[in-house]
Amino acid sequence: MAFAGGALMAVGAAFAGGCTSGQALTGGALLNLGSWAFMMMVFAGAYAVAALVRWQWR
Amino acid sequence: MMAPLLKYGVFGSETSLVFAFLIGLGFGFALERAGFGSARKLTSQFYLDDLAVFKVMFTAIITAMLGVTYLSWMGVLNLSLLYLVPTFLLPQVVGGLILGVGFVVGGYCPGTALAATATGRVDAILYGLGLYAGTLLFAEAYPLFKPLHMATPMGQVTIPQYFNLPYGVVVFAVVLVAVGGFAGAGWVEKWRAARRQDTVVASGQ
Repeated sequence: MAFAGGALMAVGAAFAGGCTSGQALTGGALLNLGSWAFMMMVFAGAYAVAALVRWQWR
Repeated sequence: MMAPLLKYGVFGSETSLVFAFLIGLGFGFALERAGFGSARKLTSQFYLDDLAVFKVMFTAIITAMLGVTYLSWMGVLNLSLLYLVPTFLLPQVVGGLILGVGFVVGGYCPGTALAATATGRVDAILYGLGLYAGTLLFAEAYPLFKPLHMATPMGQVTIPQYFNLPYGVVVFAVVLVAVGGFAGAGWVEKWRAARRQDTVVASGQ
């Protein structure tokens, strides 16, 4: 699961041009339009599937 | 004006690597210190049990944003020389969704996985290998991904520019949202803690 998550993360970051630090934190602080859209979608995506993988964090 | 220091030639790109190293040390230390070297801690954000991820991220953004804003107002920092990642709205929305799913499935984001690898966590090492695999996949199948990756280019654009608002007003609005968000996050954490307590009592444990 960790491996799959890492792979998804890399593809997502490649599409978006950055990850949590590069896009959300840096771009967020500079009020970059795309960064804020990206950041909201990160949380949306994570909350959307959180229930499906709850078992592994118990 | 003297900042960005690198662009004004205060130091060269070799020296900037030293600064990058020192900042990286600090970043890793802060992540580990905040407990962000643990996937369980990070993902409890998405089950609303512990909103530290939200709070730390927003605090980092607010601190950097206010620093950049004040330095720019004092004439120390030239905002226009700071590199903005160009906005490609559609791929960033899709990429954000994929990355969010990857976050809750894998338990880390790239930075925190590095911190957790340093403390020898096996899941973080696997996660890191996954990052390489995903990057390789993206690169190898790039012709397939390119139409989406390059869709809806909007150039380097900030929220104040896009919505035609004064910079300071947007900064102030973000601070207000953060203060409200922190209060809300504290309330949610208390509510979840109380609910856990009820469940324990009800199950007779």
